Amino acid sequence: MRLKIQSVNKESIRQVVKLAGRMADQVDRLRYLRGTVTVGPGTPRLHAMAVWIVAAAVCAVVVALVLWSKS
Amino acid sequence: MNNNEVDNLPLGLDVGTSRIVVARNRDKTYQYETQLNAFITLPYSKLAQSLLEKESVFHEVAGDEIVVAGNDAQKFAEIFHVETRRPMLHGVLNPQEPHSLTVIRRIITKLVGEAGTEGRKIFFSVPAPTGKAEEGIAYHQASIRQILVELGYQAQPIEEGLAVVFAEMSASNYTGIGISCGSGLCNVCLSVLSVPVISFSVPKAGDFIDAQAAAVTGELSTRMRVHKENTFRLNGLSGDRVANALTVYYDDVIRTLTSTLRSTISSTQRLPKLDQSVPVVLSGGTAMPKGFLVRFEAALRAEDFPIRIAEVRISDDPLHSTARGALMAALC
Repeated sequence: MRLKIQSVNKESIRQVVKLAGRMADQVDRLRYLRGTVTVGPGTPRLHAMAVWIVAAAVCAVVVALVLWSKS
Repeated sequence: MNNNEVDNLPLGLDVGTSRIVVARNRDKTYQYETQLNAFITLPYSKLAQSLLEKESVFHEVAGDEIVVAGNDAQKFAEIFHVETRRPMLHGVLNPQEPHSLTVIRRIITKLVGEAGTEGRKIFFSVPAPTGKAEEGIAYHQASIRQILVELGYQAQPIEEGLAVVFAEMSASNYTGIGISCGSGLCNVCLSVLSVPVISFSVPKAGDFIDAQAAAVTGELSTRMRVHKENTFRLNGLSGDRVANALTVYYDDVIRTLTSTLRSTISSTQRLPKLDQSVPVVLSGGTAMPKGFLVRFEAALRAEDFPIRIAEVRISDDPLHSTARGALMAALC
């Protein structure tokens, strides 16, 4: 399982990186990141793959139904 | 800044196998103080003790012996042509040395003094596990913490590799690989946005080079270390047998470090997705000889690496990097 880097606040990691980059003082930047960023369990790869397969199957069925109804 | 404010400022402490370094932040500048983490013993006599006191040599009477510790131990070892004894081995308290805890306590007390204000913050460096076993890290960590708590500090451990990241990787938002090449161990940490993801240590480092080179040349390990720190350059084999021996064992350490780094990162299941390439920063006395960086980078890039590497560089201040990183953690 991969780890997921996440923010404990509402902002996204991209926003966190942007904000941290604006801080000129090294200690301020470190303090902000240590208080904001954490790691948690990411989506398991197999699980993520299964979700994509099901989504693709549903799409295929919908497309097939649409085409069948038009024919 | 008055004395009360100075007495309350956080400290960073690098408890290394070879040296103990304290970092302070005064008026936005970092200041360092270092003591050699070594000692020698002399048979007790009143004359010897009064001479040491007269010369202000850092010593303590322990039963029928006088223990000379810190930087002064090196001078005495050279005078008497003996090896200094070491309170630490492979990054932790030396289990074969009965004086280890006493000497470490003396050196730490000399460097940091009493806290001044109860609960003053201090972060001290600890090694990461080598992967084989815990190898005394918990006992070592608890012992150093106890010494600092007795001095009135609120002490927190920080892994040495992470301290290097904190000291060196502000520009990459504390994302990258910090490596501290010390005497007992090479400590490695892969950090993402200041969060340590992988930490480990490799038990081949400066002491391994000294001991192996001393064994094949018939010299003392202490002499090897002095030669290594003063004049040695890592630029291939030459006519100098000591330099050749050091080169051979340096190459061994570099190969072991890079292959362990590659295999550990490749085999980990718990790696976050990294969108960008990451820097690698080397610090510690063992990384200081000229030519080390070139050889390390060549070994690292010789084969595919599991993550993209942006740059490989040596810290601007490799002997103080860990202490500075510990201080930054304490300041947060």
